[in-house]
Amino acid sequence: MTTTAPRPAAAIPAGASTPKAGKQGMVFLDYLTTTNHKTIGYMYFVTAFSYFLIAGIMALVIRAQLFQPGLDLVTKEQYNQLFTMHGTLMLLMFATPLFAAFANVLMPLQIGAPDVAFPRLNALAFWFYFFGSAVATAGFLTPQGAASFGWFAYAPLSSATFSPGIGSNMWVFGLGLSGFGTIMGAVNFFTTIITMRAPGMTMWRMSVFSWNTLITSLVVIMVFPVFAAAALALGSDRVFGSHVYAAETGGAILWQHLFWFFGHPEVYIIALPFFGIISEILPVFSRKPIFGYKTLVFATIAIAALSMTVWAHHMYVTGSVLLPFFALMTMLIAVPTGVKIFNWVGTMWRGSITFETPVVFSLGFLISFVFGGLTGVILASPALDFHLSDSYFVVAHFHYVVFGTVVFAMFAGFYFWWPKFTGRMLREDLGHLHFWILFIGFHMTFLIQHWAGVMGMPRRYATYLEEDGFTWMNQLSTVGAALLAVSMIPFLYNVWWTHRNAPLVGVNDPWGYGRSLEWATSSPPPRHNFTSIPRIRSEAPAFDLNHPETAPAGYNDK
Amino acid sequence: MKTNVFLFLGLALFFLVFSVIYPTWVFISGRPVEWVGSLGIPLTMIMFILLGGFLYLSLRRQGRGLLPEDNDVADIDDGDTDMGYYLPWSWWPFFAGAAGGILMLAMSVGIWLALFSLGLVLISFIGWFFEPFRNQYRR
Amino acid sequence: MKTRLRWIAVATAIASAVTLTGCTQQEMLGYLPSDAETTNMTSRVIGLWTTSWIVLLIVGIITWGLLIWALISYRRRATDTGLPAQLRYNLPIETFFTIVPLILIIGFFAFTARDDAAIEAKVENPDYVIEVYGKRWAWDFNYITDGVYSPGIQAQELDNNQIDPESLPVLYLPVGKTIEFDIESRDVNHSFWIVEFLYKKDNIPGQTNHWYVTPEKEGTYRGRCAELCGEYHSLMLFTVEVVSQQEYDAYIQSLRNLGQEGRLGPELNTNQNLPGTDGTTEG
Repeated sequence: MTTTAPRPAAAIPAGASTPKAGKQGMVFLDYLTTTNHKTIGYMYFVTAFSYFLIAGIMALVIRAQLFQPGLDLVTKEQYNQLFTMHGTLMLLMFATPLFAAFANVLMPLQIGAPDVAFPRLNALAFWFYFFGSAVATAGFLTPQGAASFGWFAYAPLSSATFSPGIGSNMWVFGLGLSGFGTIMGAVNFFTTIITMRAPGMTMWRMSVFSWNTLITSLVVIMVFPVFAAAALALGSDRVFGSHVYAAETGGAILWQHLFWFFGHPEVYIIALPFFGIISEILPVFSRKPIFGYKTLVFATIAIAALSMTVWAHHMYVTGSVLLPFFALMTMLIAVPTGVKIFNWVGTMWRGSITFETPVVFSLGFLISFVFGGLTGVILASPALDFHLSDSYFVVAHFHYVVFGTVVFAMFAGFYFWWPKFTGRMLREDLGHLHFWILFIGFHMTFLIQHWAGVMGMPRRYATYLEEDGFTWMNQLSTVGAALLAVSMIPFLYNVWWTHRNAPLVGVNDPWGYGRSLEWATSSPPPRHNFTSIPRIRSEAPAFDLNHPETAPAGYNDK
Repeated sequence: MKTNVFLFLGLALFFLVFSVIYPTWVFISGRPVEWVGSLGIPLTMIMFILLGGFLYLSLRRQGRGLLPEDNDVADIDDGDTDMGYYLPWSWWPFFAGAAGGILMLAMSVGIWLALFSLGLVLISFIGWFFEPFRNQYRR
Repeated sequence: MKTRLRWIAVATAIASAVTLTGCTQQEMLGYLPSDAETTNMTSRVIGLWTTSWIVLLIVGIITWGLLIWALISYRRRATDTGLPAQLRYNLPIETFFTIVPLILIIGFFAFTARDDAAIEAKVENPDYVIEVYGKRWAWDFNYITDGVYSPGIQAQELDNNQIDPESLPVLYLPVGKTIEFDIESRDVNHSFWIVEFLYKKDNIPGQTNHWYVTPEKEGTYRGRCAELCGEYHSLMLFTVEVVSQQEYDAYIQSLRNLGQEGRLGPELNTNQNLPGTDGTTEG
């Protein structure tokens, strides 16, 4: 049980924080002042998804510009701003906060805690993200436009000499603030996991998603401070005239090392929570436990640890890095990642699989991610990377791994947990339509980019030569991008329709085979998550409660 | 708790190994010292020694007792009924976040705004920490 | 038994025929825009690329195959009830799919380490030294050994916004001779990429990078900047002409005739604090 601070007077409606939350105007204030991890999670979802849509529109403009050589839809400077902000928004304002969103809503539920360890800090983390991202994106509203030096902001291009303008300053400082928010969120998450698990919820009985939240939070605290420090130093160079990244003293390479020391683990921060989501969904719809739970956890820890030692594979062509060390470590990361993939296949093996929307999206993830992983192994080799670096092959690779992981697993998570968050199930027919249009659009956009890159199309180019022979490839890619965009429509319509028309599920576990603890409380959960918690004797407490025939020995002991 | 100690100290050990391997390999290859990796990895190791060490000391102080969340056969009622002190809602995160946002905007736009925003930051800082002792929470 | 063997033989024969005859020249190169004779290094890269892809695709097909098999074979039929066997782990299989990828990776690393070392190896006494300056947004080529230079301007756009391929700066290289490229930058990071040579090296201000290569086939090749350097990054293109020794000498002479003797050195850098400049305030 929790004790909340004594409240004056009025009765509080269930699930609300303020006494007058029933009234319309107070709902807005409820959001502004909430310390409820679920509400904060929902705010993260809405904000992150909005950035996803905005950055998606930027991508559509980019692809439209590349439809034919020599199009002048946007100026070259605007084009640079578009891809810079597309990358920044997608990675730092969509994917990373989406981790915070899912972790916020689900992790306390899955470990049987009433909230996170530091609820106000949790809210602060959200508002830092909100305001920091707003400042960075507001660069578009300045006369010289937003930052245009690429989301990695290489020095000296990102210095005040080569990228003057307030928009670039706002990028640097806005991301510094948003980064602080991420760090606070991560500290909160792992403190909650270490100190606030329910009785009987030992570490080895936690859901895989909670384990991944723990490990991702550790990676966040390892690398976001480095990014914040590097970004603030860049800000100091720009605004105060310091010489931290001065080219004459090796500043160019210094920035690259600092940035990628953050930047590579960042992509694992983005990937690992979504691996956790897949690990939650597949067992439920295969009706058997996750295969190889312990090796899965060890593999995740190995990925997190190894991710800290591979950063310079982004710098092979600078001539300034120890090639064999980074090649070896990068290739080694493929091993635990492969272990995870085989464990997921093993979960489905000899299971009893049904194909609801969450499963279908999980399969989309598996298919895309495997291919992205293969191209990653190719890029790990410096000999091959010398040709492929900074070409569309890299663009294709990272979209396969990141989009394949984040976006597919995000939608899988949405369809899976929507009844838990809102009390209503999203429609299956629209869900399947959404999936197929997205899947076809995604592959149409990005598969051909591998060939374009190999054949010599560099990334971040606003135009190319007809003689290069890339034109048809770019056109195919642009059509695919349009299809991808169209796939959002069934999803948004589904959300709206469900909100208006779908019946309340009324039960704890609408899917029937839910395993982890969030399926043992109402949909949506009460303010402090549980009115009662079932006995915890395995990593699937809700499943054991509902299917006692497969519960571990000793489940019914006094 | 023990698992957490192993997790953190295990990671510390991993980073210890690489704190040795990476700078040594760079040195053998004849390249100049690569400061980011040579400092970053040892500092990460130190961070995990800190975390793991703290948990280890807590574990040791616990003696032979097992916390309910680490107990394989614990029941839900074995847990402490009092989980701590929560503020059910608070204005301060929003204000502190907005103050931070204005500060960052100020750094970008002009230092004159930063001085003003530092004032806001200070106010939110103080307000945040005194919140549990003021108004309805006054004891 | 005999019938079964016969079926297997037929299936294998058909499969091999389809796969092997289906490989066009382009496919044999793995779609790389080069061939083994272009430089002394391209055959290495092509070999590593094609072999890696074959191995990786086999791994991928096995993985996708297992996945698709599981989906088809283990889907819940309409008549199914209850739960399948709640298998939680299988240590032998898990060990297998940890060890086998590890072995493949170590093999791949061994080949790549050997190839990286060969590609990056310094060549003492190259036949020609060419200093390549990247600047916003074009290339200056200093033919150090011959004592002449060739400045560049960015690609020009024609009226219809298409890039005019005739306007690109041209780099001439003599076939069959070892070239050392000294790669420098006047301002921000650029990257010197000759597409058909399957190699690039960044131009980092504040340091000199080196690339040692022997072009072995005459032809016209494409060069482009491969590191974002600002607004006209897309127009920072150049052409590479690998020509016979006579043509190369004739070209060098033509540069002399234009009066372009000497070297466009660091004194022209935008960033006047870089080594070799006079340390006055930045331009």
